[in-house]
Amino acid sequence: MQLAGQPQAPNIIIRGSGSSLAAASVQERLESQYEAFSEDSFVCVGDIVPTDMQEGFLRGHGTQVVDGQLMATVCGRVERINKLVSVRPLRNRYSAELGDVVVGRVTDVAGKRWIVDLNARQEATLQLSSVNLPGGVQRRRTAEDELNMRSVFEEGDLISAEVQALHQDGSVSLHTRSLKYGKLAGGQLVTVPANLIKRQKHHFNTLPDMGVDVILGCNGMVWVAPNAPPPALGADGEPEQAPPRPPATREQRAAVCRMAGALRALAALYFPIFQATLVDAYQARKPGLVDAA
Amino acid sequence: MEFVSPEGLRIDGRRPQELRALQCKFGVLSCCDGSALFQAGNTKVFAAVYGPRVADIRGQALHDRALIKCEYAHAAFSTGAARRRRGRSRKSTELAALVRGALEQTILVELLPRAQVEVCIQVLFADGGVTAACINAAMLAVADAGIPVRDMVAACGAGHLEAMPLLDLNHTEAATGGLEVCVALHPALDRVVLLQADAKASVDTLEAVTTLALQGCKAAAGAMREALLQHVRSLAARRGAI
Amino acid sequence: MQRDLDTLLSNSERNFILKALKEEQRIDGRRPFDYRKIQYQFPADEDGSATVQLGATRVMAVVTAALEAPFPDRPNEGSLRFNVELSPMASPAFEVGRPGEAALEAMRLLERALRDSRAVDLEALCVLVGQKVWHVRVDVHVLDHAGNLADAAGLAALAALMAFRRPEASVAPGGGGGGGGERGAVTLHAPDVREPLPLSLHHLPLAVTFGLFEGGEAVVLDPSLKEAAAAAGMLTVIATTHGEVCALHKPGGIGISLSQTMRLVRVACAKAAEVAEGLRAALRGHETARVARRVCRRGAQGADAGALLDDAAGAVAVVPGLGDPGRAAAAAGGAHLDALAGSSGARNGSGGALEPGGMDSSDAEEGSRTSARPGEPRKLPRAGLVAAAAVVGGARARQGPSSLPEQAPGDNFEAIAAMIAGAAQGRPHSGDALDLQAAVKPKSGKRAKVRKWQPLGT
Repeated sequence: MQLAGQPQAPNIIIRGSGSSLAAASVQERLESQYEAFSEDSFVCVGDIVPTDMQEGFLRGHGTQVVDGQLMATVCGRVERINKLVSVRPLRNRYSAELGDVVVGRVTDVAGKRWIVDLNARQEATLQLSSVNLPGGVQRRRTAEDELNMRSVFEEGDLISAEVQALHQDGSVSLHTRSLKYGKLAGGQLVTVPANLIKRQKHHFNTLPDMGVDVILGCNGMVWVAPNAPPPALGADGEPEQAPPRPPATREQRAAVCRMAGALRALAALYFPIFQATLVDAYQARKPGLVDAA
Repeated sequence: MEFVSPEGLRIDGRRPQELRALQCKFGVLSCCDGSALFQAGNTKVFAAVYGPRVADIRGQALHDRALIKCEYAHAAFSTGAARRRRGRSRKSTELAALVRGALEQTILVELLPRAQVEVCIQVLFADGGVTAACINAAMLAVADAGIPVRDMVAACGAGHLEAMPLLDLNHTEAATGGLEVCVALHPALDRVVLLQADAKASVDTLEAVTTLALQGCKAAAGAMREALLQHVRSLAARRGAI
Repeated sequence: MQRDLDTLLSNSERNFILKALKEEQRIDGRRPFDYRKIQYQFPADEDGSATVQLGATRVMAVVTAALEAPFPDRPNEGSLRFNVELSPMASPAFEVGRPGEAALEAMRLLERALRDSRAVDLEALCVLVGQKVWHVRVDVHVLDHAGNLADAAGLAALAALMAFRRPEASVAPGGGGGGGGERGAVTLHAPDVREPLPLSLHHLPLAVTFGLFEGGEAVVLDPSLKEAAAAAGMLTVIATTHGEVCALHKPGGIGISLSQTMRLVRVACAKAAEVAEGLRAALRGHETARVARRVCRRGAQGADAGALLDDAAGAVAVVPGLGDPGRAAAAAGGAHLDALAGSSGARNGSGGALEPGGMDSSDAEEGSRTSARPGEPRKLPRAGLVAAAAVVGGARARQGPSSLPEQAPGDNFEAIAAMIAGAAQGRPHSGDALDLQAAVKPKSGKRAKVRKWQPLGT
């Protein structure tokens, strides 16, 4: 695929050998998608959402009731789940849901919590009581812990976390109560539109063939880093907290850059991003672009 | 100079009640949440929307609704006369206030408490109907960003020259100083959101011209709707059914 | 809506206002389409100032004019400029410094009403094409903000423009058409010599503001501060008295239907006619008072301080604020001598001589010579006024038919004293020097301001 694509082009030229995607098949797939969308599955702002098949309906996101009729408030696709009718826009800012894995940047350290920026409508908070303290012990947080918050996360650190709770005004509470969450270092961050990231079971993807680990944050922030060594088992058989990694080698950095480039290409073309498409995009790259000495 | 020829053609070849050709493009800027380029004839306006996001100045955030901010700028080459750039002039403040007023009625601000939506408008070429084009471009950018709105807002201008109401005046026709009306409308709710009229006229003339402008708004709304649907379909096709 | 106005109102007040409006009742007891009480004040001595009180809202407008070169692209038109000052005195929401959006909105409305609609005839302000035109500037100061600034500012500006009088300027026929300073010298005439002229207004544009509530169902005219804070939108119509609309201003706010808009426009036209009637009546009263004052002045030969030489002496007699009447008389004497010595027509000297600090020492000496006796202050005024009377008599003769016949100085003195005393304080006249001194003592300093009419082209 062209690495610098334009978002408007439906005709995509795909080059590369050994790729599982053939040029023609991609075109066919795209055209079939176009026809597959029936006319009434898309609505524009101010359109009446057709609900003729139901007597009663529940109003979902993206709609409003005007004079007893359902009117769309965003441009997007209509989704009907039983009686719930909602309109989902194709491009909007990330709105958190419970259990999402996100990657964010710490912007502020305030009394007993960190303020994390998620590229969302509101900022997220990470309470001191929701992080794993170094050493792995589970204990009550003291005033000394509060004074040493910066030794855990500082302003400007990248962290991966999970959404713990949502509040009414849109703000989000996070937690990092698992060893796989925590500070991120030694890699590259790529920001893509949040709608392209599918919500899946596993957001932490390890790709040993390419030598990279990819964390697909649901808020559109994707972290690409060289492969981490498997966590050493402690005395009781539980995985310990990993020691700090050695600096990456040249080949590892090249692999990270290639993967980041593949991500940007997918984002520019507005393709969905999950493991399969990532692998395809990586393998379809033009050889020699990053490997040049 | 006559503005309407005996055959009924205006100086740019249009009929008296004909809109200029409208063109809409989306996603033209990469850093913002929503962006659009709106073109009516020669008038070309860019709009970019950042939001809803955390308010820049915490003290300004409102507890129960979103804060709408609007910035207007016109390029130094946008009008025929070369003009020195002066930063924020009175005209830019006035136009920014008008666009903000129209958007405050359109965006469902109660759904976005403590957030901020910032709209930036840049005029590349001003050939009449600038206020209307700015409002249309802002609306398209807001729809592209997926911000929930009450209804589409479409704006259009109209005037009165040589005893005839004319739709969508260009710069030459507007420079005569006759009656010029700019209307912004919610087409589905049929409500006038913004109404600006200049120059002296009788009430009946004003009514005729405003009615014509409303019809122009509805036509512009139809064109904008088509462009939005086309854009949404192409995005959905590429993204797939996830 | 401005955020400051929003925070001004509590939720319960807002609910009360809305509920009351549903029953067509406003919180101050007015009906939906009633204006508050409008009062006009025109200061007695100034000709271009007006203060309008709309309920509790108070706005003052001052009009000034300057004769300068025109704009290069409009050589035969004057100009009209507006400036709106929202000082923090008027409302806690106003800040000092750059004009905010509210001031800008008010200024734009004034411009659209009075300039863009061509209400003021700018071509009549041209004196000499390409060289001298009148640039009129209207300064509007908001003194107290209790709602509906647009209407009050528009009324104040219009009243000030209608009350404004500019001095008449005449162009001396210049030689040939060539360039040069001497072509067509422009002479400004003092208000006493030639009557100052009003601006010519083609029509009277008035702003009428409506507050919109409840999705456009409930509409009130002339919203007060609390009603404006509770309103969902505002519509301002600038209408003339002949049923024409100069401008419409609806900057956002709740949407209303077109039929509703047109209905409000028609209501606005009717209301504008009513308000214009009140404005005209107030102006008539002001004009009557002005004419009465002028008649008194002419009769006592006490013209405006900016009078020309011919009337300089008489002017001194009733000019308070010059302090020592003896000094005033000396000035009169000095000025008189200058007048006898030389030029008629416009001269800078008289204006300068009348100012307390502007006298030449030579004039002072001559003046004291004519009045002679420094040791008798009480008699000084009499002597000075005798001289003044002589001058007056002479001036009168030069001017032509006059109301005062040629008399002996003593008789003149009595007559003048009588008229001065009568005009100044309305007391029965008496020939006593003491009364006269009291009469010419500075009353309130109103006359102290001296306008220098600088003739041009010389």
